[in-house]
Amino acid sequence: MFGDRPPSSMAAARSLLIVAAVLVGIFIYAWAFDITDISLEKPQDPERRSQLSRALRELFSPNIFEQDTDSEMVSVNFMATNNCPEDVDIEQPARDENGPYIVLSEECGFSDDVLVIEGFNFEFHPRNSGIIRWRLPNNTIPITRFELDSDGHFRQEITIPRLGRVSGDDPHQIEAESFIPTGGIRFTNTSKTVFEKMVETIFLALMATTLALPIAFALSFLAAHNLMRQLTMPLGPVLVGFIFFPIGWWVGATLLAMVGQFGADSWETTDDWDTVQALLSILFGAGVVGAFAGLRMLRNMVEGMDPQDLKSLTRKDGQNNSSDIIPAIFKASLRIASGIVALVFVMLVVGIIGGLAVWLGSEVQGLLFFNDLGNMVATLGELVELIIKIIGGLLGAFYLASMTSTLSAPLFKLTRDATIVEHTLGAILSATVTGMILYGLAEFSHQAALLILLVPLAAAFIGSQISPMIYKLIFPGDKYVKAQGARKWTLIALSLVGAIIIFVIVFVAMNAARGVVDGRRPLTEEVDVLSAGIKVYSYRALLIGLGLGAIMGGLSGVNSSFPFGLVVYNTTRTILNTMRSIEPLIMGIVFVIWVGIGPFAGMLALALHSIASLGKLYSEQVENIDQGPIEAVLATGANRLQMIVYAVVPQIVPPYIAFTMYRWDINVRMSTIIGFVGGGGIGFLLSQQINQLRYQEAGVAVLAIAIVVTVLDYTSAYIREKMI
Amino acid sequence: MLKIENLSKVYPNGFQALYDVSFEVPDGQFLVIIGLSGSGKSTLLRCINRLIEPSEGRVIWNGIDITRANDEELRLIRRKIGMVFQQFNLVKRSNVITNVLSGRLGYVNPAWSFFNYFSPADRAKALEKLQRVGIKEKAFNRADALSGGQQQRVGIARALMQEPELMLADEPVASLDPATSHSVMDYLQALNKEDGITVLCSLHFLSLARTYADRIIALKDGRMEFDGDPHEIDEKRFKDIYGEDAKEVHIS
Repeated sequence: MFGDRPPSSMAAARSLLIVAAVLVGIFIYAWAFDITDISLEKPQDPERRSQLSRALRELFSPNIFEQDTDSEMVSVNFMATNNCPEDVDIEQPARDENGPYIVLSEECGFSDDVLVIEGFNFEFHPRNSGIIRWRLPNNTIPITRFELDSDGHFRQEITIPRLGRVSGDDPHQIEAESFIPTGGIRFTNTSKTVFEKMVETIFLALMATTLALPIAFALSFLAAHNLMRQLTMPLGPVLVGFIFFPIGWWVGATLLAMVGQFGADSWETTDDWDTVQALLSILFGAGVVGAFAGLRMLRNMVEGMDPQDLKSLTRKDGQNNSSDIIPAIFKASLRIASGIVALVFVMLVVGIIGGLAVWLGSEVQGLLFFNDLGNMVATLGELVELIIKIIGGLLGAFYLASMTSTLSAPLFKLTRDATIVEHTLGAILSATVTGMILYGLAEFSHQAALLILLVPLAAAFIGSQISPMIYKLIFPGDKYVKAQGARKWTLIALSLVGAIIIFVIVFVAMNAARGVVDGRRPLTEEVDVLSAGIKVYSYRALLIGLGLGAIMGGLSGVNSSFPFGLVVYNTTRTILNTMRSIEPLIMGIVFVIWVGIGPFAGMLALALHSIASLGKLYSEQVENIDQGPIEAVLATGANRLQMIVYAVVPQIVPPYIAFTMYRWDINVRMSTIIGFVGGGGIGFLLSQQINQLRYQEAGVAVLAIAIVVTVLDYTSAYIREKMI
Repeated sequence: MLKIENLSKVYPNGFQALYDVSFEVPDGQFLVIIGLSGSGKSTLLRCINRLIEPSEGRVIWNGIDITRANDEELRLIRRKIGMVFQQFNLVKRSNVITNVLSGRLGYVNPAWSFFNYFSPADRAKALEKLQRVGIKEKAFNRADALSGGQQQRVGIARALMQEPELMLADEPVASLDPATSHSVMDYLQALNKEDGITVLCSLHFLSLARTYADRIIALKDGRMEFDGDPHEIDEKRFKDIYGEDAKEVHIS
């Protein structure tokens, strides 16, 4: 459109555009100026200035050291009244001419009068200090400090403080006290507390980083685009695996957890019966190992000496031989059996380790030097026993899901040439899975009002997948070529439209306005479905899921390729990004509610944030590695895990160490302020000192933070430089 | 016997790298694939062990359809097919022997390999293969401390650890100087002649191809332009393959 105009007007238009952009920019900054409340009046206010200089002066006068002092104190009487008699005569305490004494220029006066105080015969010390106080009958006001000259003499002009209405005729006293340092210099209690809290802070950061490290390490591979991109599976096995996942969880959390609990209990030796039980558990373990070895041998016998001989694949070229099916079933059941035995063994070992740790920890705890160690071991053991159900559930779920999806894969392949079967199966399985997902989300959204959006959002996501599928069905493109140009934009627009339409429909159908507008949780009213009570809300979600899933699965069929890796990648990324956007201070508040005020809460908050942050940093390192070794290792016939161990890990070790150091550095800095919300460490102390206006003590904390952060900064920079 | 049937590859961005390529390679042949950069040589080699998924067609090796193999089967097939690369593709920070041992990963128990444990027999074999390519003394150096020619020999040793029956070499000498190129090509020839390993090797230079090939296949823009004896490539054929303006360069 600009091309049609003569060049000169184009240039004019462009400069106009620039002027307009600059103007808009200026207005934006003016607005920002206003919003941020930038004003020069308050900083010029003399009162604020003096407050500032006082605070800064105290911050920069940290009371790190202290020393015992001797003091000499003398006082004189003073008549405070606004009509002084001509001849002031008040009684003064007896003066020792050899000891210290002070002399006043006036012996009578009132507020705001100026008075000169002179002191004589004080003991001189190069570091001594003195203070002049005004002592009223019921109150003492510090007036000023004084310095002695080398003769033990000082002369100080003071203004009489505002005394208010003077009650009675009792004379006031002006006293001067001079301090002389004696004895050794030592750290103040503040310094000692700050030191303790600093150690706590560093360890808090260390624990948070350590806790985050393995989790972030594992997540970083799932969040690496280059590793996950190629990972695709046929849709059928994925769906089957998903259906069996919760079943596996239930079985694992019940049966496998029982095995683990058995292993754990066998160490609680208090009476004879437990010795028997311990023996039993050893026998049981031996039995499990034996069963495993036996099954392994049987498998090798069935599958030949080299169980994975290339020769056995020869038939792939031709037709399937029906006589292979019986041995195939036999082989599969052997595989399942040995898998289950292995799981039982793992659970037994986990349980025994947990129980052993608790027992060992409690035994060691009494011993002098090992107290901390025993406590740690016992707590870790307790943790294992606490989560043994979760371990069992996870193991069972993943095992059953992967086993069923692997075993079902060849069956789905058989339907490759029967289109109707392929798509009908796809519709049924996909409906089941999406029904399960939406039902689960609906049940979960009873927790809080805004979670009511989960079901419409999930449905919208499915909708965004369906509409491009329909388009592709009507206008099939080249199946090997990614959509480009106009087609690509059409598909994107279609998926957006599909998402919005489905979102609106489901939003209305689920009455989600109840949560969003009214802030109420979904109805818990139940209906009778197949003679079982089910919440109306979840039932609707289930029906929607069944419908959408049937459409999606029916359109794609069980043999279509499912971008499993990309789904995992996107899910992991989303979780990491969301977690990263929540500041540790906010997480700290939540954890303080859960585990109480103290460093434990701060550590958990920092650990959670570090997982997100390290996970992202790590995964970017994985994305930056040289792809060549991956290709080479895969070409040798290595599996994906071996590929990661041999081609990826050696390349990422140096940046991982560097980033971990960097994160520890960040965590130390963060943990200095996590205490402001009760997360322990030096921040807690600092916030108390600041709230109580004890700036000199706060100065000690600030100084300690500065030193530790600087030292750590240089150390981590040095190590990072060495590593990369 | 390796049989390529109607192989085509379209990349997701729409670029078609191979058009309907078919040929057979009898066991024990030293086949050189020549062609300009971008003519599809690397794609063709990678379609054979499915580092790149072909779009159409089949690759049948010793009666097994590689293109239809599932993941597990593909691993078993891949471990019998060695591959060396133009950029060597060694893990630079690992030492030489670890790189060589990684050629054994398809055979070993995965659980052990996670802890970097290889049987003494495998370790001995790795040293033996390094001896064969003449750099046994470098076994415990870091891979990136070696020269280009030495790194490529490590690459060959790694492929040899697989006890391959077929060797794919993707421009194995393109990053090397002429003298080193010949030494690397000599090692490949030795594998072919002494061990009877079938070699599929892509090369830029016709002169190198003439020296080492039993047979030459030329690719041009993803299509087979020539298939025959090395000495059949005359001036006219050369211009067909490399374009009118090309001049033959001799590596001595």
